[in-house]
Amino acid sequence: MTRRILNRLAYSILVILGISAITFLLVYLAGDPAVLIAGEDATPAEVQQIREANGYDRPIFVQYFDWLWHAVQGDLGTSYRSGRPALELILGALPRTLLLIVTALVLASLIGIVVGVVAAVYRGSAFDRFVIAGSVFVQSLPTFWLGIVLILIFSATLRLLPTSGFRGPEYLVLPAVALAVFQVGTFSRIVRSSMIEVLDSDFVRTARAKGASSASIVFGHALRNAALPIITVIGLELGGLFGGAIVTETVFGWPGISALALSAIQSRDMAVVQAFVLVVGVLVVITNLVIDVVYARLDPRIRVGAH
Amino acid sequence: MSDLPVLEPSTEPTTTTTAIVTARRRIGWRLIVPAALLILIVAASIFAPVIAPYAPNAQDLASRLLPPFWQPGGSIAHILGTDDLGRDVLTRILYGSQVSLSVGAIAVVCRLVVGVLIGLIAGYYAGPIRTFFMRLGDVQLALPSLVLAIGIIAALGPSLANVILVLAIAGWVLYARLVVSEVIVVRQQEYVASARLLGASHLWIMFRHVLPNIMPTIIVFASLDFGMMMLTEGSLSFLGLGVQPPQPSWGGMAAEGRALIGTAWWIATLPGAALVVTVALVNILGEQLRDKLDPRLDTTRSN
Repeated sequence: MTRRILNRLAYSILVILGISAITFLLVYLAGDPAVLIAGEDATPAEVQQIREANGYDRPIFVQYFDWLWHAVQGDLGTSYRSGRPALELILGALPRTLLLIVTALVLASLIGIVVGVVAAVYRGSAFDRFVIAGSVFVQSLPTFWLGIVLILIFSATLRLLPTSGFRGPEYLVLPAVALAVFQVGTFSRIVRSSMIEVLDSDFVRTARAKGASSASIVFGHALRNAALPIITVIGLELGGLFGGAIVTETVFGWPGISALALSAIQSRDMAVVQAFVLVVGVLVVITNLVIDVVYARLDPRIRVGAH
Repeated sequence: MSDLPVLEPSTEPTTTTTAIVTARRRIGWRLIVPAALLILIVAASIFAPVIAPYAPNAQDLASRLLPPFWQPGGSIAHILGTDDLGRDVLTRILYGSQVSLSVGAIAVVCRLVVGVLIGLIAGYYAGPIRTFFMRLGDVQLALPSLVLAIGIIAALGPSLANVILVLAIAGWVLYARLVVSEVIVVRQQEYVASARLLGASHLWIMFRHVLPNIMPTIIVFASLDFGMMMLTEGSLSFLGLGVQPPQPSWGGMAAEGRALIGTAWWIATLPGAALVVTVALVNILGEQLRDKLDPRLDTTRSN
């Protein structure tokens, strides 16, 4: 068990190193960084001076390790537009993005579990077929369109909820719903199929034969076992949620990390873009590591098996 | 609908061929209706210059912000209304479909070709090659594709070509993983060993024996991926990272109309609705294909 966790930890560090290399290389993808800083009408001598002053004339591996060394210490460069450290900017906006993502995740899992369990218990019923068809439809909905339609209905027409910004809990409702809807389709499908698998298993049949009530079978036996795949899916869907959050934040003017990253693109403020990519990547890796450890704790087959 | 033979998750290479034969016998309306509608959309997209009543960027400031014809103030001259520059919404939706469909198709082909090639090589040859590509894939999968897209487009600048590049870079992993796991199974089949003994080269075995076996799985995955690509293109254009105005794209039109949602709902919502309908049709078709070609991929029918 400990061995497994250590293995996963080492592996996660490798993945984070890989992400850091991609992040670092983004600057070179943008072109010669010295030219980018100097501006287009700089003389070759000026460019050369900037290149040497910033160390861009060193071998790329040396530059990477230098960058990495600073990154580990929390220095991802300075946003040349605002003059503030890039990491500080991103971390400052991160809590609002996380609030949005976690709310959407909770919403999507709750609805997904209820819908999936009911569909699995009444397998083959009209409701079950509706859930399958609905999940296909829900996954055809672009988040930006859903957001706009929600604004049209609940803000512009019914005037129930605010359209954009974040000045109180009511501002969270529409963005969280817009972000959650896509995931509801995924969650209800996974819950449904893993519930069906467990409901068909021998131990549930035994419990039924021993006279356990339907409710105790569904909630006491089946859902507990079906919970494991659900936890894994949360980890797999986290990346999708971050992607969806970028769109959602833009639709609803949500003051999260996406607004920072998108305006950094306009001004080619690469340090902020790098900080954005690295922070999201590291968060996804760490969350998956945690989920893996939790999974191992929860699943006796792994917990006992690895002794 | 589940009267198809339920196939075990077996490694028998013949199951997929059986499935194809069965599929030929039962092509029902569930397959024909969405396919026909989709063909209609593709035709409308190709013939947009003929069908569309106006030029895509023709401005008519005298008829700005006209609502669709069924609303008071709307006119039959602009069936789906006009935007704030007096451009015809229907015309722009028709032209916008060209972006969504072509970017989606090109992106899927790029991802598929690159991913399948890498997957075949990495699956066929165990050892450092497989480890390298699979670890590279892990790194990429940790980065959400929209986040990676923002990073790359920030570096390269927003354009249609870069969107396709980003989608291809972000997606080969999914195909490669699918292919690797299948290749590992197929490679252990006795007929592959026999082919090898009979003197077949590795390349011959890969393309003559292994690839045909995994093709149904890949086709099904690609058809579902196509819808996903159209959604991603829409999102990127909505964020201003894809097609640049004034060229019409569904995502870009939604972004332009977003600020006017309170007064002119049709500008932002109708292009998005076109995307919803198209992607839904693609997904329905993909699900049908999966049922026919590759029931093993089905997560909903695991009973």
